[in-house]
Amino acid sequence: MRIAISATGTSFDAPMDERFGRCPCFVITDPEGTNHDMVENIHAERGSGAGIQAARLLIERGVSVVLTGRCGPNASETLAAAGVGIVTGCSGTARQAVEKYAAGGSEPPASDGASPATGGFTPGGGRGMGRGAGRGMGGGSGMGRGRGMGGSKTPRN
Amino acid sequence: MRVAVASGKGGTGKTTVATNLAWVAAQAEKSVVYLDCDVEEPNGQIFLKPIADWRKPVTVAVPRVDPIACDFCGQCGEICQFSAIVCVGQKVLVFPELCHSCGGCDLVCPLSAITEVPRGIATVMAGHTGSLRYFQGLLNIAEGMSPPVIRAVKAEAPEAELVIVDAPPGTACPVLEAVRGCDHVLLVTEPTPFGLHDLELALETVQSLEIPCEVVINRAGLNGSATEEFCRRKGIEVVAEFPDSRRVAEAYSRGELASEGDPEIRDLFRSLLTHIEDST
Repeated sequence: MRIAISATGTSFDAPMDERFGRCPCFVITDPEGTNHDMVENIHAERGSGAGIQAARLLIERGVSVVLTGRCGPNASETLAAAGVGIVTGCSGTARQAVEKYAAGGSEPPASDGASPATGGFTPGGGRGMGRGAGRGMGGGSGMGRGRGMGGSKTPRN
Repeated sequence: MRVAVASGKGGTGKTTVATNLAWVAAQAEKSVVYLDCDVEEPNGQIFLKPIADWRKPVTVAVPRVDPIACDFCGQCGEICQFSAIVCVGQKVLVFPELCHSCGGCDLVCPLSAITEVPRGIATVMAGHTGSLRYFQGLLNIAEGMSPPVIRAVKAEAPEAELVIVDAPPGTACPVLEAVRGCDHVLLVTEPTPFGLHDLELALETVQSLEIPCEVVINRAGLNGSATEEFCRRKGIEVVAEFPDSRRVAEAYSRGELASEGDPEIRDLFRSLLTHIEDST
């Protein structure tokens, strides 16, 4: 299993960046922390869609869980579409975040409520924003459903 | 004649200048059309108090993907510069609020799996007060794509002796959209370091469109003569200076037009109007 941590630096002991889409790099590791690698987030400075592209970057590298501070709705939706688990509210260094994740159990610090998608260490925090088919049109179910259920899938055309 | 009232910095007095200018022109029995193109916050209505008589939704085209026809090649996502459409594995995600409606995804799709569907983002409203026609765009809550709304406001406006475009602040796409096609631009600034800094940017923006422009200094006398010196250096005329007046601020705070209750201010706007008419 490959875990990505949003980080402020390239080292495994670098402090985490609490932002997902605009962190300068991701540390990618296994749960034991033995094999770690780094990928530069080339999308950090994008005007629009940084989180979406950062999510794609990690999906292409076969990441299955993301540890971060906060993750916006578009990035969450992209990660969830590929079945990538999202753990928000993480802090400390990349190493500490992985150790805490691997140990399971312990709750991450409560977030400020800005990203209510995921609470504990539950992979698959789909936001279910539900921009489904037919938004703004006569046909189709305009509204989404499901919010913050673990592993929920976003309705999509 | 179309005159845009713009500024780099926000809060310099665009709406104050635009509404008072419109009002003195209407008082002089000219046909006046006022276009509030500050579609995130159209507040010309507060001062002009039009009676609303017409409205129309503004829609933009966004992609809809047929999941049966799509083979998830991802070309739509590759061409989109705004990440409004991305292909993730066996799914195509659309983020309509990021879409700039360029139609690129539809064009490149080899299987014609994409159709464009309308999405409502704003409303254009019109009203009247005396001989003045008032139009404004208003973005729906949480929408951020103002250029198509500004285009829609401008497209609805009839011709008149004087069309006043109240532009949004800044120097980005919405300003260019508002100012484009105007015969004349008034750049409103305040004599502060911030005002001057943003005036410089705004001037560059307007000059890139090659539209004749002039400067109006609001709250004049605040802070030396750096703004006048800048304009002299750039060869830009300062066509009006409005004093830093408590009476004007009080009228503004009550939602009233300063030129309606203050003869001195009215005369300043009348001479500004005459100047604009003479220069075009």
